[in-house]
Amino acid sequence: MTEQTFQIKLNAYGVLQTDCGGFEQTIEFPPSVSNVEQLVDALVEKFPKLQIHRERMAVAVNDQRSNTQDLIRDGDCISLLPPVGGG
Amino acid sequence: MSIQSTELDIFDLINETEDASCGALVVFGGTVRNHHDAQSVDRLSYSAHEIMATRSIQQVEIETQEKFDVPQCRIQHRIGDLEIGDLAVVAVVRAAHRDAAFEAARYAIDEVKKRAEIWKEEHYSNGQSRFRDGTSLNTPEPSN
Repeated sequence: MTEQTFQIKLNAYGVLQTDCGGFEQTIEFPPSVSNVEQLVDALVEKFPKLQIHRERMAVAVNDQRSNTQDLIRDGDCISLLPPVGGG
Repeated sequence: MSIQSTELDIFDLINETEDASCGALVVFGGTVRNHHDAQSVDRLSYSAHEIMATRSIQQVEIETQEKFDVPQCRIQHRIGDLEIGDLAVVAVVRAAHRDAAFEAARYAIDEVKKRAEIWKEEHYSNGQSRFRDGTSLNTPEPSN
């Protein structure tokens, strides 16, 4: 039986767009990736340069700041948010 | 509008916040300067998660009004490519008295810099560019 995958839209902001190969992309994951923490693990595996930002990077799911245990669903928009500094 | 790609106008916010109960008006404007850490800067590019940054700025406005008991606080931030001298951010506070107005304006701009989902890239005269480091957003702890 084929494993059912799901897709997310990834938006990488600021300095992270370089490390993720662009601002916006659609990425497919296996169902074993079910929460934010697992998603970040998978993204670091896919984009190893993300590792150095991991501790200080925040993640938003559908424009809401997330908790590491928040669930990820098919079609979610994931935003990777590096440290901010407007002004 | 809290985030905009067009030129900011201080007088828009001054007019918008007119309030007969206030005897103090403090305006803070952040402009693009031509240097940073001994490097010559040609221009800045600001980017934002517009939905989240708008929400964060509006939260700071409300919080500032409540914390300092000031009737008026409005903040606008510009995004896109800005040249030296361009206005990048404006905070306008009106209060009954000057002490509260000064303190509130300082708080408002500091919080926006720490919390609004906005990023700044510096473009240097030597052709290089770099995103400025900033404040890590506090991600909520896992709820068990």
